[in-house]
Amino acid sequence: MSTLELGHVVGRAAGGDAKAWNELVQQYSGLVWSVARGYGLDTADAADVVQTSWLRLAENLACLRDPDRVGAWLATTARRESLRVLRRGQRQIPSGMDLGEDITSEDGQPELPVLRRERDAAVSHAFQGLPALCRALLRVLMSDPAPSYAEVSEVLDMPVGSIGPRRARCLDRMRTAFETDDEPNRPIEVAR
Amino acid sequence: MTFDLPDDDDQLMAELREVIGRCDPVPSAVLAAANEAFVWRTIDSDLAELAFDSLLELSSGGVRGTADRQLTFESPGLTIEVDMLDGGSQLIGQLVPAQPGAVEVQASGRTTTVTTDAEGHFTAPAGAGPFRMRVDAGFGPAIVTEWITL
Repeated sequence: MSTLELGHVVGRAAGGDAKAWNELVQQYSGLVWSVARGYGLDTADAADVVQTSWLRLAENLACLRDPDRVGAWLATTARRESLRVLRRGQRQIPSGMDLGEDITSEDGQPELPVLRRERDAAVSHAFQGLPALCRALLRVLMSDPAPSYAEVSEVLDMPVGSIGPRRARCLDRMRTAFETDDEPNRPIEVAR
Repeated sequence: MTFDLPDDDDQLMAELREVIGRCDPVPSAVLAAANEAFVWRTIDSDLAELAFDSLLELSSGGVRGTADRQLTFESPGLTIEVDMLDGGSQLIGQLVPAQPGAVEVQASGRTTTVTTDAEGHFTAPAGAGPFRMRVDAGFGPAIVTEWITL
C-alpha cells in the first residue's frame, strides 16, 4: 500500500468504514505481532499487547498526526506495551520464542523430512541464541508483509542508516553460532 | 553431518522467514481481536490518558498499601485513580475531584457497570487482557480512559 493510499484508508476507517479498518489489520498485524514476539513475549502476552495496540489505534484513529505512518504508530505502541509487560512483576524475560518443538506440520500435511526438521531446529536454535536486540530486529524484518526500513527505524527506535549494518552483523553472528555451536538439536552421529 | 547457512544475507533472511515465520504466524484469534477493536473506537467521549503507572516506577516505594499496581488516568476535568488488587482481578477506584458517577469497565467480550458512592469510590471486578473505563458523571461528555493491559 502506498503512503497516499494508506492515508486514505486511515481516513476511511476514522470515518467509520469497517472495511478500511480490516485492510489496516491485514497490512499491519504481522508487523505488530512480530514486535511483541521479537521482544520475547509468549503467545498469550503477545496477544494482549497486539490487542491493546489495535484498541489504542481505534481510540486515536481520528487524531493521528501522520495517518500515512500508522504502521509505525501501531508498532511503536506495541513496543512500549511489550516493555511494560516485560517489566510486570519483574518477570523473567523468556530467552526463546518457543520454537523448535513446533516444527512438525499440522492439518494433515505430511511431516517434513527428518533432515529438513533437524536443519530447521538448528536454525531456530541459533536464532534463539542471538542477543535480544538481534532477535527483535530480525523478527521484525521477517514480518509479512515486509516493513519498510523507515517503519523498522521507528519501531525499534534506531536510525534508518544503522538497520542494514546491524542486520548484517546479526546474521554474521548467527552464522558463527551455527558453525561453532555444539548444540543438542543436531543429530547425534552414530558410529557404525 | 553438518549444516551450512547461506553466505548471502538475503538468502539467510529468507530462510529465517521460512523457519521462524512459519512457526509463528499471527494466531487467528489475534487477527479477530484486531478486527473487533474497531467497534470500540471512541466517538463521543473525552480521553483520559495514563499519567501514572506504578509498574514503571523504578523504586518500589511507588505503590502504596497492598495494591499490586496503581494507575492514574487524567483528563482535563477528571482524574481517575485505580488500585489493582488480587493479582489484577479486582480494582478499587476513586474519582477526583470526588463526585458520584457510573463507571463502566470495558474489556473485550465483557462489560461491567458499577456506581460509585457519593465520594466517587468504586470497586469492580477486572480480568485478564486489555481493559478501559468509561466514566459518566451525569453531566458533560463521558470520559474514557486509555486501554491498558494488566
